[in-house]
Amino acid sequence: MSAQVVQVVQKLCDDYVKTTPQKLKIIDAYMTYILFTGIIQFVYCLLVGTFPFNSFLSGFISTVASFVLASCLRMQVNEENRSEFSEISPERAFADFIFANLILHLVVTNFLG
Amino acid sequence: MESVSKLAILVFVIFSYFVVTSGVIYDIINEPPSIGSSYDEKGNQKPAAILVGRVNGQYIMEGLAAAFMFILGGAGLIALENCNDASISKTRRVSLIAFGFSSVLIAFFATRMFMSIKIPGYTS
Amino acid sequence: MKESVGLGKNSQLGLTTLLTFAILALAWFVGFASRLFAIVRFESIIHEFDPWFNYRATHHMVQNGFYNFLNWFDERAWYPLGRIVGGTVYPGLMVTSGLIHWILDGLNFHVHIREICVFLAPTFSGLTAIATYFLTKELWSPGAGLFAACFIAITPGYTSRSVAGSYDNEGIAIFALQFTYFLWVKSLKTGSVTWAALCALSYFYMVSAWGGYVFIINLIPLHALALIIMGRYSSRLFVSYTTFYCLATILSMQIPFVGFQPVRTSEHMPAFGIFGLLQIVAAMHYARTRITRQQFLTLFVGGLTVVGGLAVVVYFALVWGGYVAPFSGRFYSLWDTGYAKIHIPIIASVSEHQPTTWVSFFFDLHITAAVFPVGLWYCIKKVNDERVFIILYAVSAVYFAGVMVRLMLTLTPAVCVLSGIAFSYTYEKYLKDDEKVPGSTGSTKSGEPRTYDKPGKSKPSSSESDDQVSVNVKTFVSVLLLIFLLMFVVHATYVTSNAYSHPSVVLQTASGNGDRLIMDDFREAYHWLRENTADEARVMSWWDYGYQIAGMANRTTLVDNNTWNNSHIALVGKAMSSNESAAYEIMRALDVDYILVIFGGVIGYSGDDINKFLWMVRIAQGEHPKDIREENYFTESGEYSVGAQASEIMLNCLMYKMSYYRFAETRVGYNQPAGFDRTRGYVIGKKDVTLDYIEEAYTTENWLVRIYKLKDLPNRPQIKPADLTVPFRGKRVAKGKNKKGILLQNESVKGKKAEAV
Repeated sequence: MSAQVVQVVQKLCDDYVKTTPQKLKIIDAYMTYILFTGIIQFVYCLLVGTFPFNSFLSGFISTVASFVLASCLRMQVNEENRSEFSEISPERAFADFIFANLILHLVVTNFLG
Repeated sequence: MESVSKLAILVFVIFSYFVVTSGVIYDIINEPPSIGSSYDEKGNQKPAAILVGRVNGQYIMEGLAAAFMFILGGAGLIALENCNDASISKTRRVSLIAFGFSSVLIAFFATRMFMSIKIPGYTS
Repeated sequence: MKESVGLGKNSQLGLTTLLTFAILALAWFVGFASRLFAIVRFESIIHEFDPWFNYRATHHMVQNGFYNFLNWFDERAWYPLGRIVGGTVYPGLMVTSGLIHWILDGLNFHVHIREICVFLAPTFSGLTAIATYFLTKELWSPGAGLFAACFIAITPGYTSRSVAGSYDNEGIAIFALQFTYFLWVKSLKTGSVTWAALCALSYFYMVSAWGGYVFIINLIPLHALALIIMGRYSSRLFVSYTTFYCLATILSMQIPFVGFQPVRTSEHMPAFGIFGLLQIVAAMHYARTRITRQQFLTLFVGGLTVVGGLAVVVYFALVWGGYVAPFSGRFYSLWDTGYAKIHIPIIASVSEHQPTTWVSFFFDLHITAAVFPVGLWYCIKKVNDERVFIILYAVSAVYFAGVMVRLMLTLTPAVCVLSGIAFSYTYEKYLKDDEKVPGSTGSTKSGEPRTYDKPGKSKPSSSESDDQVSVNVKTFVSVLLLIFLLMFVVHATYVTSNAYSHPSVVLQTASGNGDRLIMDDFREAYHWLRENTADEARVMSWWDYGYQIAGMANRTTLVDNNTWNNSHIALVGKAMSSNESAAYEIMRALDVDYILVIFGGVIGYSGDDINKFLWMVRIAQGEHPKDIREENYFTESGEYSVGAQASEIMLNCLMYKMSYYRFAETRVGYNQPAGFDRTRGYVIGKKDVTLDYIEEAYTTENWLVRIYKLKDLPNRPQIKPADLTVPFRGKRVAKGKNKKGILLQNESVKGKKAEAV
């Protein structure tokens, strides 16, 4: 069973490296960086404790939300999903991304305390 | 899950709407009698179907009757809409229109009558 | 008409837009106007109880600034505990009024904040109609949108909580609700991040406005789950839900009252769960195209079960460990309807929290109650992603409306939307031209002139085949539905005018010859308190009147409608139900100066404190079961009565004494015996009521409000020297060893000899 899982994961990785265009790989790199910052924050919180809770939450949610917004951008820019996002050009998707990030970071700054 | 047909969903929705609109939760908590009783001039007991005067009280039977009227009115409207299909025979169409018409009218006037019994002065 | 066909699309569009604009403006105007009955009949004051607190808070904010409002600690409520207003209130309502006041002040239109508060709800009803139009337009068609907007502008279910003067959260919350739902549906349809972000902003406004935001944050995940289960998962759903959830969560935590609840309570956990589920489903979707079906299935089934099981285990572990709070009592009582009566009597005692009867459904919804399932059926028949949402909304709202009368308000928007859809669909069928007629006759002759042709067997109608209903039946049905709509308007106006426009602060009856008698006792009493008592005087009353006392009389109260501290309320209830001396001890401990009771026995007002007394006893019994027992206040046969058969404890309790002091000296009518209580309908049990520890301070004109003042503690009694049991040494010792001031032991204090004084 585990051999199968390893095989599947291996196949996914190969497929990924070969077929994804450059644009998406940049977004993926950004997403991995956000993921690392999120993990670091969470580990820090587990080690040091949750005070002040609002700061931890705002930092953590900032990483999660940035990750999510980046994944949404990736989905909308991806050529494979053209049929679903026919009215949203890549430029519009990027503008939406900026707008949502603006709102997110304003709220995060307010919540940091 | 496409296996759940639309008709099944409709039946579930109509049934739950009927149950809730008849005030079943009120019935479960407050346990009113099924039919109330009042006294006529000679002191004999006669049944009173509708609890007069209060908006926040009901008997079980009147709740069920009112909910049935709501469903009847809705069914009449659906029938009126369905009879515009091209694919049904004339007799069926006429009967559908008659059913729709009559049920809408009956439902409306019956509910109005219930309300006027319940709250004196409603129809003025 | 030939002109419109000839001129082309632009004028069509112009005409449609003009009509839409005109209809929506009319709906706003009608909605505004139909809520003004109370203003026209009485004056522009704030109604009821809760709005008085909201008004006081808004007034405080306008006087002292926004930050002082957010950090306000109110020491004139819940004496001696005080209330942290900034952290226990939904500030959206106050901020909205304050903002309008600020803008108008900036334009040099100086409107008193009270007027803005009174007229805020009718103004927002028009905005709700517009938001409903947009929502229904997304769900069905613009025509249905117009119907729905007109329905919600006047429907009694909504006007009940938004008449002019009812300055309460629901007035703006329903607008925020509809707008958030419209933005959600729009973002789902387009899959755009902007719409989802706007939806999150609108949700933030909703969170600041009303505690019912929990409904939104559970309905949207439910919708997402339903779409996944139905196999309608799409990338648009992923984009819109995840963006909405992340932004909405952090936005909602900005409100101090909500605090950390979105990550800590069970009510918010479904949203988080669906968020996780969506990530997994998206990953599956991504993987599906890249690996074989067999491998996909293993990954899918194995992964999903593992993660699902893990999530459930983690959730229960968090609840058990106290990190995540279980469902709060308020929301749990919606599922287990008997729970509140046993465990939380305060929630059960509010009249709005009783279950609904069929009359409430008909009263608030009229014909839309019958047409609503029809609209629901049409949405089921022609289902797509958005219509699943309205179906879920409608079904859940129906259940909740059945549980609690107050929640009829959340059902009303769903009913209006679906009735709009039903009516629009039916009218589309019945008013549309007969387009199947061949040849050139179809384009020039519209349906309208044809209806005025001779009925029955005229030539054009015989040329139709038998696959359409004849035109006369069509007109007949259209006219019948139109008549029903007119009856709806009549009913809505009747209900709004008679049932929902009572200010509750002012009572009105008709005298024998039809004249209007206004009984302004409440305001009379509060004005007396305001003018004739010290500024720091503390007034004890039952919690219903706390906000009004604080708002109109501007005095410190002990308990008010916020009901956040059950033990404090129980203490007040215990004082009201104990005999005078025990009550006096409690009241002295609480520093009470005045007590206020509402007594309706003279005019027959049935909402007075004697009728509410059993709830006081029950709540007191919950905290002090050894001192207060509910059975002690019933008669021998188990009835609740203040008449001749009432128990001794009932006849001697503070509430009875305060209500009926000097009552036997008056008569309520010419032919009634002394002590006949008009509300209860019989003569009271004990007519000679004497007060030892309190004295009457004020009774209003119709005896509706009675204010009592606490007497001070009596001075220590003087005992004559001859009656003393302990002998009193009157003589002073002036010399010798017992002279006053000499230390007897002659000890040296730190080396110094004691000196004689």
